Amino acid sequence: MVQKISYPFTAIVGQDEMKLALILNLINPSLGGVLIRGEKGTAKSTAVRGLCNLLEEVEVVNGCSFHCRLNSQNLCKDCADKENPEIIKYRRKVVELPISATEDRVVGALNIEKAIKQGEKSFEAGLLADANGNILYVDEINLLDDHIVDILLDSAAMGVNTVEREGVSYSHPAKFVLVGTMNPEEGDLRPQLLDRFGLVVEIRGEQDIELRSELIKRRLEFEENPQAFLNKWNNEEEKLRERIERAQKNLAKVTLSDEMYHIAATIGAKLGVDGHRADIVLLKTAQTLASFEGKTEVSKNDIFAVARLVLAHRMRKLPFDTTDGLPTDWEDVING
Amino acid sequence: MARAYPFVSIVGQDDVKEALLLNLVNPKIGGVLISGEKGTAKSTIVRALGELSNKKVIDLPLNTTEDMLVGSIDFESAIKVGKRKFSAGILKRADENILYVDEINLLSDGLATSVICAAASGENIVEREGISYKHKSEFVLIGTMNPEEGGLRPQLLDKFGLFVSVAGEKNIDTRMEIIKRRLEYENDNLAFCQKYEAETLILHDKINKAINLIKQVKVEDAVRKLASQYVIKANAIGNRAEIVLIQTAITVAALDGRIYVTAEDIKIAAKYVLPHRMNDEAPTQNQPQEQEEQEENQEEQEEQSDEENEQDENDGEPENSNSSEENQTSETESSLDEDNQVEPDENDKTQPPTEGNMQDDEVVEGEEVYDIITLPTGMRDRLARKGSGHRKKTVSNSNKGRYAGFAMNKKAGQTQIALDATLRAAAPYQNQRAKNGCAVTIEDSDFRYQKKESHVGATIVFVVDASGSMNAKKRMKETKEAVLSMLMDSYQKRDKIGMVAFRKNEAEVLLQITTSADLAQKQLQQLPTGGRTPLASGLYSAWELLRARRRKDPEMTPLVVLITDGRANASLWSDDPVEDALKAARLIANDKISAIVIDTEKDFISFEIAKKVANALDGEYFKVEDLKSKQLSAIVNGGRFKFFEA
Repeated sequence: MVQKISYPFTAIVGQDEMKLALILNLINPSLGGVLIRGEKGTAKSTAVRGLCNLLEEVEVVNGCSFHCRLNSQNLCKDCADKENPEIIKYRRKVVELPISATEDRVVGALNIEKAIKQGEKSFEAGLLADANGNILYVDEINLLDDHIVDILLDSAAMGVNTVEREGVSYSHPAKFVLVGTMNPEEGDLRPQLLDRFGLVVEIRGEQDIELRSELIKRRLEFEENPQAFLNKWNNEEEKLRERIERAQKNLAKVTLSDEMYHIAATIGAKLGVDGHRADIVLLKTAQTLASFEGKTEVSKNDIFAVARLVLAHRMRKLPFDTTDGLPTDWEDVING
Repeated sequence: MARAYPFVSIVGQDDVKEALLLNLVNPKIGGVLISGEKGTAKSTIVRALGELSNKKVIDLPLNTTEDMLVGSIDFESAIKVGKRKFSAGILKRADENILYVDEINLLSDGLATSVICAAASGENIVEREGISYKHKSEFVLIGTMNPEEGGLRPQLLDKFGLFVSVAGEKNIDTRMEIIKRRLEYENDNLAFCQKYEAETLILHDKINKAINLIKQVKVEDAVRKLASQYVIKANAIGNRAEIVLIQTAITVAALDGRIYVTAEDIKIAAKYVLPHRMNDEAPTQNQPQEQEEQEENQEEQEEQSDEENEQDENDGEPENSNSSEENQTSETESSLDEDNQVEPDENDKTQPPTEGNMQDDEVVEGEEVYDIITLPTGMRDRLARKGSGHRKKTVSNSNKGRYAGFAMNKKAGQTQIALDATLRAAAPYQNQRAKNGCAVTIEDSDFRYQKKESHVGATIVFVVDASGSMNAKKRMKETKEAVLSMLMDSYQKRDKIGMVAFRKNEAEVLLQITTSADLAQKQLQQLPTGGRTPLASGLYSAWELLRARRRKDPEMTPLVVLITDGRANASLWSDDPVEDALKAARLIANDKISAIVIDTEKDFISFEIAKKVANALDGEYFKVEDLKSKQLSAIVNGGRFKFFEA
């Protein structure tokens, strides 16, 4: 099958916040994923699928169902036992989880063929295995069965998928960047699940006439000849990819002063955000942003720039709390 | 694999840490239930505990199938060697270890029952699939839950020796330290663990000493009496509380390096043992002293939640349904005061579930205040509407849902083969059967089918009268309040909701059927009133909405909630608006759609039209003022709702 050409990420008009949130997660997979909430036709899916061009090649163990990377601390049992594993190049990808997916395909199940032909009990890897080291994308995540959402978020949080079903007892690494898109008109995610997403972006269609017409122009151009369009944008894509790679390398070198810890803790405490996950993600996201911008130290501005992405969905404490998002004077709350 | 976050490096959460350590030293205590808001290191602490002890942390994932929990026949050895061998399940692996259930309140009933049985008896008895096997299964049960997501069954609750509720740290310096350590750990977890190695060793030592010391700890009569006093004051049922209390106090002493138990030990133990064991029969005003301490710590939070309460009232939010102050546990309260649910200290007014409350299909009446306890609101919530708990997780009649177990017979709709169970059924006969190239020959009698389990929420359409007459005498306000409290209930049960309003000359579908209770709430708040009352149109729209939905989802449990003053004055088909309304009502009844009518009419001369409509709907009828003093609880019974007054 010919790989369908995705619309280039860099050619998406506007929606800067969404693009930033996705890029930050590519740079730092430990941020905890992105949930994109917005109305129909706002390039949500296009942006996520477009990520595949920005993903880099990595070295993985040949034949491993989980694409284990050699220097990773999170190796599967087989790879951990291997002495001199063969290494191959592997391009990271966007793995899609359709909402009709059944549980056995998500977590993995008993291998039917081996069971009947050889009478052997063996584990057949599912989507979570394929997603290890990759991006796991769920379109319309709010319509996904509750029990599957629970599984996803559990694996995303622990980085491990534990299977106890159909006579198979197995656990394997499942570290992935979870990206979900949804249209809130069709029902919302529970607050408990929202909190597990590192960043949440609310998007709306672009209102500016100039931008809108540019958007249409590009889209039509792409549809006419996808390959030509892709070639045209290749340069931009390449630039962004390099920038992301640089940011990944420099991430650990970006320093956090005591003042920044203090600011993050103050924000969490003053805005009354549940638990501590928000504080931690806030600093990590600010650090990632600083790295993306080529800085070596996190500043207050970095924290403020990502605060909305990290905090807005964590402010709503309870199902019927109508205070949506951050209070308008939140910067004053923190400063004062 | 990366190393777990070291136990000693966890900042704060002293109660959780202490409760866990006590269990590590003395498994007889019976486990810990940790309840708290999101992101408070619940899971992190438990993982750390495994690293600290020689026990393994055995996970019980929510999507475990029954056979994997209790164990079953090993089909591999049955097929290859022709031997019936027991293949151990999680309960076997958990023996002498820690059984950890994250989000235990979401665990399916079937699995929970097996865990309860094993926890109570210390052994696991397997009688299934041709296997008869019994083994020891003594484990420390640790569960975590976020009470916002629903409560825990009383039977399961009682199996936990200790109960701790956690909240995030409010102090800025502490918060800073938490972030710092976490980032340091993520940056280089090996180096981080090494940094805390020495401290870990000291703790290790302390635990081992305590384990050796525990047999020598003596309990004086006076101390035993004190324990009894605590239990009597708390009004806990049975002697279990006393036994756990003393075991815990002994362990507290041992951890402190002593071989005698002091009053202080009992006090510490009571903090963990009693919260979930309080009984509601007779309220006690005297609170054991340990509460004072807790109160000090929580003063700040309490103030906060008080403020929230005040705000609620000012906003004209629905008032508490129960006039009596003590009745903190009524359903409306717990639904409407959701603001307080995240404040664990707010829960100390709760009463706990007890065995006396456990009969099926009965709904508990108003409960008294207990100042001593901290219990997640989710629990009382669950209790108050236990009757409707059936709505939560049900065996599904289709191929949807999670694979929970298997059945011998194919049922209508459930056609997926349970491969593992089928193989296990076929395995013992492989020697005698002819092979045709495969290792296994499967015959018709071997086939087993998947039993699926899914959340079967209800599909509720609210039909709201928004005519001019509803403006009189605060009727609309009451209507909104009534619907709001039902919406809150629907959120927790994951119901699907639609909304129809009727005013002027027609009905309008405000909300197509969705799972978002939020949207419903918004639509409701914005709903304008005025004009005539086209009751028939309203009912007809609801009928159409549910009919369309049924085509998509034949398994749904439909319900129409009609809120009106009954003054129908705009007709749909004929010249008689009331007759039309009754006709539309009969359409709904004929389709076996459950209904409930809430009558807002308050005038001296009543037309009782709403009552007639309720009859035509074959539904239940309530006056809106009844709703304020009583609460409605529904159970799904044979696809139809039955309502109870709570």
